[in-house]
Amino acid sequence: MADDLLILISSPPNNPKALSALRLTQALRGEGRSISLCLLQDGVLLALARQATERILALTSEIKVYALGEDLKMRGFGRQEALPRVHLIEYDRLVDLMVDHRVMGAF
Amino acid sequence: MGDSLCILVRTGPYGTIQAAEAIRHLNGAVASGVKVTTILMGDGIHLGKEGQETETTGWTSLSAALKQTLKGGPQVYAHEPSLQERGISLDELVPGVQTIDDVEMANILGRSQWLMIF
Repeated sequence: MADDLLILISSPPNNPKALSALRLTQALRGEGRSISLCLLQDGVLLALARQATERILALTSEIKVYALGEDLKMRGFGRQEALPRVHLIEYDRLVDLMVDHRVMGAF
Repeated sequence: MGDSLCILVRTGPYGTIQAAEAIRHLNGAVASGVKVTTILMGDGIHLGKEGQETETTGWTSLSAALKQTLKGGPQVYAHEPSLQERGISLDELVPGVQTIDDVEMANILGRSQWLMIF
């Protein structure tokens, strides 16, 4: 459990916090750490294919990236607009992830 | 300078209370007979996104609230460059929202006596 890391991103794509979180995730991945990313609140906008950055595209091919489906729907988007490799999850699954991983922080 | 209010929304809905407060003040202005123009800019563009499903969350759908408010006649604009940056087209927004460019936005801001930024 303790070796599996989870980073939560709740800030929107252009926010420096989100960008820092993505850089941190890439750096930890580069160090060979087992890490997952979960997008929630405004952070789910990072999962949209229409505005996906190279960084998030790279991460979705290297690690598990989750997004809260409920928060995506609240913002008027659905599965078809999200990156195919992003796993849409419900709150119960988020709780499980937080229990099973060491949460590095919420950005 | 006129006697109008401009509400500039730069934050997206639900992440913070800002966008909901913008709608609340827009409703208040319309109800009070104040001439009001609202501009959605930056992440505020998402406030106008059609199809926000909030049923299971306990939140009020802000796009539905905006749609209702538009019946009262206020002008609501979406900043075109912000739409383009986010890959969102006008037909994805609540009907009645129109687009403006930087110059038109500057003109509206210049004409408004009061400005509220959310």
